[in-house]
Amino acid sequence: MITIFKKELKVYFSSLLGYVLMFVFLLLAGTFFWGYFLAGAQASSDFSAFFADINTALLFIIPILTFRTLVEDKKLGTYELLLTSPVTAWDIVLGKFLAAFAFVMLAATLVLIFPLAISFITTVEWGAVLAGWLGIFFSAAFFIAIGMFASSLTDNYVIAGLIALMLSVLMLVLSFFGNSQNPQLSAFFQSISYASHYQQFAQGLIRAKDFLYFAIGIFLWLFLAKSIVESRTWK
Amino acid sequence: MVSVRNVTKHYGNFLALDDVTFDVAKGEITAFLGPNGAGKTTTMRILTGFMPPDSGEIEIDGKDVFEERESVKAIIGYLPENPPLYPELTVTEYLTFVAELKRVPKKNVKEAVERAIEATDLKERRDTLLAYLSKGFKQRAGIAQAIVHDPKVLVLDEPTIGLDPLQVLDIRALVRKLAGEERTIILSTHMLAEASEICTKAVIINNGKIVAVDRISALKAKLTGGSRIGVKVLQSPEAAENAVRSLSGVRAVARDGSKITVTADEDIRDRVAKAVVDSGAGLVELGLEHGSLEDVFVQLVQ
Repeated sequence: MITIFKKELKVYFSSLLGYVLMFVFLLLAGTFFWGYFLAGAQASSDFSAFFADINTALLFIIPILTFRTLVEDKKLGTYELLLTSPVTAWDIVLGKFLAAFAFVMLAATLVLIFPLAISFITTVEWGAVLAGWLGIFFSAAFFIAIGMFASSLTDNYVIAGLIALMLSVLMLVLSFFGNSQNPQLSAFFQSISYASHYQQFAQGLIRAKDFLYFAIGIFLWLFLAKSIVESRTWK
Repeated sequence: MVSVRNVTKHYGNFLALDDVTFDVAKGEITAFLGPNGAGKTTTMRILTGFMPPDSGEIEIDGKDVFEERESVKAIIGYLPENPPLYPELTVTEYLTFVAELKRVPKKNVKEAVERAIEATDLKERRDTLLAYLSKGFKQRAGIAQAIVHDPKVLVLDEPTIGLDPLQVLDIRALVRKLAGEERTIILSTHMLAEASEICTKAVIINNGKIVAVDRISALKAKLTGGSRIGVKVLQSPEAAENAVRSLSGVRAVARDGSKITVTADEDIRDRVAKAVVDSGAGLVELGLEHGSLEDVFVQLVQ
């Protein structure tokens, strides 16, 4: 797993895609920062909306970063190398997952430079910043796990990318179904919707329930991805 | 060392492998020979555990490939049809990655990578990105990857396909060099010359069925049946042809310009020589012709 993790991370930093995505992400973050804190009439120190926007940017960037992970191996033929090596499907899926996660979290942590910069001018609510960062931590892992799953399904880049994006958006809009007449159904959709759990983090509220949601969600997507990788060699 | 028992594989309705059974002994270099689409790659993929069969058993070093995956995979080196390279890595980075993947102990990784680079003559390209290697060097990197953990069993799927003639010779020489008492090699090819040049044994497959398993020399002898004598004359091929036709034991005589090929029940070179000389045709050449593997192959797959 560590071997695959190291290699994947190396590839992110030696491929154009990695740098382009990092650049686009930081550019967007910079734009949000400018919009919220510099262009506004009064300087604000509330970072919750800022992190919510960054999170939305990640929703679109992460599928681009992750859908290729396993698809690329199938295209290059390195899938044969991985599956004929003494590693488990978990090693492959987790190694790739953690590398993408480390890459995204590096980007998300670089963003902390913005609150740091503003802290010289005004007081920053570091609690809210931390909650926002934590929210990104979990939702990045969640979306990467979805991307891994999409990537395990097919050997076509476009299809994998679309599935990843579709699933991510679906998880986001599930809460809309929550406004139904049936209260039980409504509660059900609210509880499986990504948005209702993420919002808590974005608002600076850290609840065990939301941790649990993300932990289970991440595990399930990764487990599905691992099962699909493995099923190829099931006799 | 490698034992394949009653392996069957379908792709949808298409029967790719039909009850395939064969063995490869330790230290042997075996050619897995067949026309394109015969089931060679499918067999290689099943052997290495990349793809499960519908039914049948595969054992390597006494262990079931699909039951004891981890321990079996550690002793197999595999070069798939397309060398499995990551274009963003250099040769050294890539081989280090594969060595770790194949569980080479940490302290031996460096040495293992050096050995693989040395064996495949990649020294001058060691810091080149794989994306920038020429096809021949990519193939070498693919082979280096397959041998980096010093596997007991080496499976090479069409190692010379798509290379230019010089590179082909190069890779063949490399494969021969890799052979040894401790290493069993299975090499798939559709080129008979390759099989007879490198390998000692051949498994011939056609339409998913094994049609012959034998030593290459035995295959040649068995299928030629009797002996073939080639005769070349200077003046009168017709006279020579008539002279040998009447000899006893001659099965067939074919003439192509000044060259006459005599197929006989046994080696009757002495009598053929005498008959041709007596006919006054002007004998300049006479010798035994070995049946080529091409002949064998055509006979078997038809």
